[in-house]
Amino acid sequence: MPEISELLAQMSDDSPRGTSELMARVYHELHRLAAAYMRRERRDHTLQTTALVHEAYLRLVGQRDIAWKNREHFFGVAAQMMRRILVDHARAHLCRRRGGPQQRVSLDEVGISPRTHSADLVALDEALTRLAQIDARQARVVELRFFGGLTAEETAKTLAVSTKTVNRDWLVAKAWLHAEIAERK
Amino acid sequence: MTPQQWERIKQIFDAALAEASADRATFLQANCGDDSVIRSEVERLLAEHERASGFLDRPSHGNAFALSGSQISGTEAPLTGQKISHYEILAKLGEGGMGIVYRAFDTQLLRPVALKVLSHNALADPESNRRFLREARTASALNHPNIAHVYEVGEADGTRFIVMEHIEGRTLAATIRDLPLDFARVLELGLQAADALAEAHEHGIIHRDVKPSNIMITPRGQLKILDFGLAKVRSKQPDQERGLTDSSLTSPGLVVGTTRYMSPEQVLGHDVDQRSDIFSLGVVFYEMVAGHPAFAGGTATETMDQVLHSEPEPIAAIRSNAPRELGRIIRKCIEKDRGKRYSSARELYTDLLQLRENRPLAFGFKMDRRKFLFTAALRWVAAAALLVTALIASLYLIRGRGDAIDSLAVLPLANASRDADIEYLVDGITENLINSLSQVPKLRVMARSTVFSYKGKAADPLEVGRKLKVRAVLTGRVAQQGDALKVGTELVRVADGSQLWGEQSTWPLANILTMQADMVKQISEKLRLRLTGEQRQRSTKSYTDNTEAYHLYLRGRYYSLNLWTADGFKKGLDYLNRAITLDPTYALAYAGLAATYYDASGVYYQPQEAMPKAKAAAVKALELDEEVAEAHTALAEVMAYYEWNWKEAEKHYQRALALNPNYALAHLYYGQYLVEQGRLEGVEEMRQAERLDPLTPETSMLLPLWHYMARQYDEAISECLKLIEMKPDFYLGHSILGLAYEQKRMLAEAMAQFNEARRLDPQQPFTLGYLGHAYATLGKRSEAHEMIAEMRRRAQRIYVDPFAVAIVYAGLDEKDEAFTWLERAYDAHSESLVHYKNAPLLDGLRSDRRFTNLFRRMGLAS
Repeated sequence: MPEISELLAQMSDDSPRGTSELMARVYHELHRLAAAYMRRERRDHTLQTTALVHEAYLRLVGQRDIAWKNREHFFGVAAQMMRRILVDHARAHLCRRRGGPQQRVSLDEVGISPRTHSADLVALDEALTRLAQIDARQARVVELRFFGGLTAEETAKTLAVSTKTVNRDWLVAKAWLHAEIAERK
Repeated sequence: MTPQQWERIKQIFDAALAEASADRATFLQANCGDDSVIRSEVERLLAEHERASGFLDRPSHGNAFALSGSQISGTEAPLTGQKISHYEILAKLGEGGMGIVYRAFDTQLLRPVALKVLSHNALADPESNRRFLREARTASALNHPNIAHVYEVGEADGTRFIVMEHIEGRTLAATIRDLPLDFARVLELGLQAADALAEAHEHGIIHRDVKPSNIMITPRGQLKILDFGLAKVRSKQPDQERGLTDSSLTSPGLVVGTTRYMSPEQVLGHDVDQRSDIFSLGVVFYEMVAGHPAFAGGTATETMDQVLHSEPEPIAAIRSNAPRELGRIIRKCIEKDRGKRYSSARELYTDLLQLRENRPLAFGFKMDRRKFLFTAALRWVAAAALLVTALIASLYLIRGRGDAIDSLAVLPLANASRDADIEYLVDGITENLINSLSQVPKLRVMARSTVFSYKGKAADPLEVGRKLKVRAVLTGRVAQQGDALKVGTELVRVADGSQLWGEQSTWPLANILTMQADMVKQISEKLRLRLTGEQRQRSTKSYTDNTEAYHLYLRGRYYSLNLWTADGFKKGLDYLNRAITLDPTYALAYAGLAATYYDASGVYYQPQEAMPKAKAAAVKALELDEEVAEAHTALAEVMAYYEWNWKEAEKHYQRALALNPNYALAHLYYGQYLVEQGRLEGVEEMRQAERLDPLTPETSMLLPLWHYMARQYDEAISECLKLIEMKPDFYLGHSILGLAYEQKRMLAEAMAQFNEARRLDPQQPFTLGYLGHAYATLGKRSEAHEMIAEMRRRAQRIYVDPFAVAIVYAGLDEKDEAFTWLERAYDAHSESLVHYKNAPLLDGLRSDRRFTNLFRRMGLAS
């Protein structure tokens, strides 16, 4: 298996093989990290997804300087992974609950905590999947910004579009998703 | 809706937002034209946009992972979750005199940090501010593994903060509470602390607040001193550091903790120098050893009085088995009169080091103490250099006759000097020579491990040469003569005993490393071999210009190759790391590190701990110099047995062999790898290794193991018996013999062999596993379970390969348990899974679907 940096370089050439290998590696690493964090369960410890992804990045590509483009690509992939991990976790959490109505919380407070907001996260994920069928890039913007914690500029670089485009996609997406989720509740 | 429509919807939405709300309707009218689909969608989205104002605006903060308990109760520190400059605050770590410390994440450099947010009163006056900045700047220049690094001092939104290295672990204060600390540990920590202080003092920084709560111990046992140069901030008066006028004295709770580590001059408000830190450190030492503070009164004043006037109870009275020297060292640190203390931390360090090196019995070292006196070693750096020069210069003068010499054994040089301390240097130089010559093509050079079995034995060189089947043998003697070394060497043709060349020389000090290149070149020429330019470069490479680094490398390899004990590995790593510190481009030292970590993995360290380190070191070595065969081998091993990355591993094995065809171990490991993949050309590789290196246990144990795996038990038994005859104290011969006996149903004999193996090397976990399996086969189930219990007990102290436990369950035919433990071995990436896949021990599990599944996941066919 080639080095992560090679895979990243391949990714930028849009080589599908590179992408899937990279994704597999990244997923494995992120999942491991996420699981480790979750197990620790320290009371005052707030895990940030961005911190998690950054840590995975460091572990996977080491301390060497990677070209800016590749770093963005990494985060792009990582964002995708994070989404999967978080949603899987949320689904699993929902399964564990005995039933009873989920507490309705305003969508604006997306400080999602397992106790009350797993359902929201799952709903978001599903809505995002539907959005992807209409506009794949737009869904990607949401994924990168929300799950990956990238700024608008970073997102633009990753997707090779303008920041303006990203911002527009983002605003529209928020409205659309909000409507979708509210509707299904 | 078509994609084009959707695109249009987005554009219109965006533009519409720029319009004032009142104008939007008209805007839409104008822009959507007749398309009612587009228009209704844009309208819907615009409406929703208002409602979704805060939605998704903060990234999915893994508040998914947060337990919101503290957020609800409101005890959460106010800053958590916020950002200061480019740092994200994650959690509160604690509170100190100056402010609150948080764990944070640096979003620019992508690393965790400790961030101390200064409370306002800490920096009230501009003078303090200035001094603080000055100190912080100097402190940030300190770069030492035992000092918590200060990265940055900054200000954001009126908040002043300090960014420091984040350290996982516990404070020394917390560790002392769990006393008793054994002396070895005290020394180890003391050395690190003294080293750190020495570094700081050399930079002109005095800590001024050395105390157990300012000292962290990482999970790996590394000590780190915090808050260098920052203690000054508290005082408002420039000349009285933490003196009686310090406002903190008025609050009793805080004071006692600080006061009892203060030096007398601090208590009195006098000027302090580095000796004050030494006093404080001495007090900390005392507490570590005695279990209670040296100076402790009911009030601050009483404590200060004790610091000034009373002597603490002697260590010897509290712990009767304390080394007297330790008591003396501590006393010298805490002399009231600073003229009588250690004048420098470096002195203290040296004393502590002497103590550690000179107490083999107390600290479990197995070395001959004479060999490793630290101070003596330094004397011999130059001598080492001389030796190699002499040796190679001698070889240079070979006068070849007629046919070329195509095989050679370099016998270990004899140390004829009265000083036994240079032994490892002599060995290392022999080894260096062997390595250099090994890279010469078409010259077969016997491996180090083979020739070293003749060390110290009065063997006839010709006899040895015949046994090893080489054409020539090189022997030598080294003796010291004043400031120079007298070296006598002789190259002898084995066939007829004729001396090809002999030389006695006395060599003054010289830089061997530059001469060495020339020498080796000339040797090979004399041996009538041709080198391509590239190969010549390779075999004359010295890898470092720094003699001291070379010396440290030799020591490191001496330990890690000869001493397969936890301590040996630790020391090996320590020396190798020091070599690297001296010469960061020393590729060979990195390769040595990689090999050491790899060797220690699975027995003394968890694979997850050691293997990545081995890999990192190997990669680094190759970055520095791609042509280091040892690094390729180590990397191949990690890739194969830890990462299960078979393809890449093979590439590196082959590269190693291309670089150094005489590298016996590379042949051995590659052969083993091939055989485990089911490729029988591996057997030829292993035989080649045996030809190159017939007398090392490692080589000779692979053959019997191979027979056992191939279920040729009689052959295995006879090979084992040969091995045991050669090396009766090597546990592995007995282990494998036991395995073979077991398969032949000779169970009593098998048990005897396993017990012997256990006696010879109790540390090896697999012996217990084999015993357990044998008990199970005998039907003694409770004894088998006892073996499991013992392994589990041991696992609490040290890493035990889960595979060893799985073996017993396999024998007991408790399949579920066996697979549970195999899965654990999988998770730990235990090499055993690869090595023992085909072992008869696991036959009971082979037909189970889980077996196939497990190995398929590793990329191995069953």
